[in-house]
Amino acid sequence: MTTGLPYQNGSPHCRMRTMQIRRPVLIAFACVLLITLYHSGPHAGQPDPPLTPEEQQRWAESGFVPEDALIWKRVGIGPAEAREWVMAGIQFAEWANQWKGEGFGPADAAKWVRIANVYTAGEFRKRGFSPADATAWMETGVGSALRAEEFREIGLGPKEAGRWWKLKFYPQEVPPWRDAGFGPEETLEWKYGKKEYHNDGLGYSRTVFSVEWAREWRGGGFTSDEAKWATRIGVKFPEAIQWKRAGFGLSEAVRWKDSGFAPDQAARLRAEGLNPVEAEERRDAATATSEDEITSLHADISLREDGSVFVTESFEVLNRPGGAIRGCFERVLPAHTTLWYRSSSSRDASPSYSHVAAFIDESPTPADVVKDSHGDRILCIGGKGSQLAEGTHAVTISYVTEDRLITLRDHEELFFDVIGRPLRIPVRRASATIRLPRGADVVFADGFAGLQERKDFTARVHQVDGSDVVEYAVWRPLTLKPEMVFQVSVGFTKGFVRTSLWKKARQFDRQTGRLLTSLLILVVGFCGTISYYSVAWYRVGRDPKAGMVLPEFEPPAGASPAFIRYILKRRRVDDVSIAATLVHLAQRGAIRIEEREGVYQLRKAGSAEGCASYERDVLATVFGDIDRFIMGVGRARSILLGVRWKVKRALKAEYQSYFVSNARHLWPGLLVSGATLLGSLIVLNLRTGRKAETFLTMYSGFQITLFAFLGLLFYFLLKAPTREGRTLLDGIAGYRDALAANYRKEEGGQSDPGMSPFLARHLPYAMALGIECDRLAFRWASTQWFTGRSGGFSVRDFIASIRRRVPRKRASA
Amino acid sequence: MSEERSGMNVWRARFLVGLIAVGAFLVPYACAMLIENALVQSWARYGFSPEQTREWWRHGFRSRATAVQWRASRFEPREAASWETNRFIAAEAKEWKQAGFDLAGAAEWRRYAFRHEEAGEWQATGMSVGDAVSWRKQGFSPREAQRWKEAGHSPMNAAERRAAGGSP
Repeated sequence: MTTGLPYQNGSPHCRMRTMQIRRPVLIAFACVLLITLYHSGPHAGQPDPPLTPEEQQRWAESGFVPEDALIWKRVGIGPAEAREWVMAGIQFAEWANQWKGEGFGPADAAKWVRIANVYTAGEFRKRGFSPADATAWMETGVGSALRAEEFREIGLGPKEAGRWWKLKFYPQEVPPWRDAGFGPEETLEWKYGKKEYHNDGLGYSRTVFSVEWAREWRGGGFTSDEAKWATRIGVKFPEAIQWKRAGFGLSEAVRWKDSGFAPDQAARLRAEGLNPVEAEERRDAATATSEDEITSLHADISLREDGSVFVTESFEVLNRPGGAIRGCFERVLPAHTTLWYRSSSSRDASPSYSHVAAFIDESPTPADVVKDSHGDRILCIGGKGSQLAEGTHAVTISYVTEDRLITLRDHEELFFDVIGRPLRIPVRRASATIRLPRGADVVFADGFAGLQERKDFTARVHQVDGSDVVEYAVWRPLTLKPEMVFQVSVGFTKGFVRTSLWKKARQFDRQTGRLLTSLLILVVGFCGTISYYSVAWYRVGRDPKAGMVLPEFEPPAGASPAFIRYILKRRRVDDVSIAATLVHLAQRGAIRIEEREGVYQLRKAGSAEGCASYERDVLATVFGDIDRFIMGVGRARSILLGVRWKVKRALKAEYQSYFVSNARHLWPGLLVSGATLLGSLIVLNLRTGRKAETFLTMYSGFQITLFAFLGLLFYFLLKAPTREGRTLLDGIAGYRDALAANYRKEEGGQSDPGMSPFLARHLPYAMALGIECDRLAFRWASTQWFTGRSGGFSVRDFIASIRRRVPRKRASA
Repeated sequence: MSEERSGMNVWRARFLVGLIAVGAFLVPYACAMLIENALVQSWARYGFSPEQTREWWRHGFRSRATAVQWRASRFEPREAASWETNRFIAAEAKEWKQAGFDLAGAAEWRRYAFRHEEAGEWQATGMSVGDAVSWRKQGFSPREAQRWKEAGHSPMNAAERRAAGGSP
């Protein structure tokens, strides 16, 4: 809403105050600028005084021309000393000054100048190294005096220290490894774990092993690779030693261990000519079991040129009575998975699944999908409520999945979990076939099968119709522990898979927990809300066009001074409103205003006929049963504050007949905002964790702020004056112009001295309109309702008296 | 019909048109010169002389940071442009170059996802890129592949024999 009045800004007093603040700031700024310029200008450094003829003579005798001599003199070096520095090979004054500053004399400096720069030389000398020592240390690559000192302190000479330093070992790291008998190269080999590579091609190791660990494993006769691998897969040193004593190499020991045999059992079985798998099968065959099992599992995985993967999984399921399968046969399709690079890095992925189909014993069967709390899809093959019949069944599932590729600078990798989550049912045989797009060449065929980091599989690559096909076969039953996995990873040459932008966007959306979708909803909702508000504003919120403003010499009909101020001050009632109301009442003969020594008091003088009803309420509130009210004393201030609230309530009702809020048009916008907020938050599928919670809090906070701001903005914009309101505003504008012109004339001394009856009559309105009338003299003659100081009624003083507190003594006097 | 006297002299009008025409050329030219000079100055802070800067620009390097990387990898603008056209970054190109590969060779080996050190090893066995791709596909290292090849085996054959526990 706009009032359409051009004079709502500050009075000349306000402008004066602004100038008063601005001027010192400008002066201070100018001073700072001048000082800065002065100091950075030609005054900054005084020119060198010229040499006297005697000085010139002395410098010339030492072989210096006057220009050079001036510089040497400036740095405080005399002719004789300057000559010594030049003879020492330090030919420039500033350079000599640096050496001098580091505590070197010309003779000393001559020994160091060809070895190191002045500061390095200074550091070495300070730490007690001779030039020859320093040379030896620097030649082995230890160029820092501090490092050389540290190496020296741990008892290493330059040569040995250089070997450690070259491999980037700091002196503090060396003693424990050296004391345990490790040389620098061995330390490097044992101390750090597998390197991980980033896209920039730089490798670094996340794992650091302790010297005690290294000493133990090396003492046991293991290589560093064996020790690190054993540690990674959870084989402790005593166990490794047991296996070693039983005659097993580490990798063989791990195979027997994974098959569930202790060292002595394994040794006996091996002596019988069995390998771990044969031994395991023989053991299992001897044990009668009632467990259900997957006799075989084969996954056929075809990578398409658009980056999607078509998967067909064939299970041979043996359902025994009382086994784990109760109801339908279930297969979990994970919502989130980790794609492992061959270089041990990884990225999180959120694969999608589509075109899901299922068959039992070659007959199509429904596959109902249930989502669990993690968002994983549990396929119930045969339908919910069905029961897989006892016996052996061929179960086939096919689906299309996306977001399985890792794109690197020089190749791409397909990573797929055939068995990535623990299966409740043991798998006897597992295999997989990976088919690449035509033309793509296999770079490597890798993966995991068995327990952590085990590679209990064989991979064979061949070509079918011009496409590379990788056949994986797991050579051990995945039966013993639920942590057993079967994951395949195939690297292939780039340029044969082209994922469309749309698919990439969808992948990104899934990876970020539907953030893109949420943002899309937010943007659409925001645009919808803003469009609705704009239409609503266009239809009902626009102010009627302002009419012609003509000078008016009377206030708009029925508009009291306080009401006019209420409109101008955007529905605020202040001390000026109360003062104007009191003066208005005084003019109407309802009260008299008396002033004595700065204390104002109001006296009841008659009935408030012709006044607005709220003005009569003001009278009743101020006076009550008494007929005198001293301002600034006792409860006067709180009574006047109460008056303000009453006036405000009364004016609000009056205001509503001239202006409409159009609040009912705000509700649909708020509803759309709320729906958008809810929708954009509901679609989010963030993983649990502190980061996600923080993000959710910030994201929802941002949205709430955004929509609250929008609602608030349009709450104000939708307010508009009615036609009557517009007429009232135009009337006020015309009245104000006329009044201001007349008061200005009076202040400028263009009219007769003293207060004209016109101005006196319109005084409460002039106060309400904020017209400057402080310096005018309102003589008793023109203000019959006022008695007081000889200078007449002062508007400013009267307004201030509403807020002012007066000591009781002065009031009673 | 009497000729009305114009407010502007004909020569003055011609002069103004000429001035505007010259200004239309000079103003943008001067702006471009200023911008170019500012850029040359900013490159100069990284040790490029104005001629060198223009040479890098001529070869398509408008990013100072990229030019600095190529220069640090000891490439001249012309050579750097060729490598970059083949989608090498400076550090990678340097590695390939130091491993003894020219651009054509490096591009060929890298197209089949060989790193420079792998490519060097395969090349040392005397195998072509095609051979190397076939042997690598079956999981052979260059040395193993060489032994099997010298024994007269094809990659498939060698892989099958090896899977069965055989040796060359």
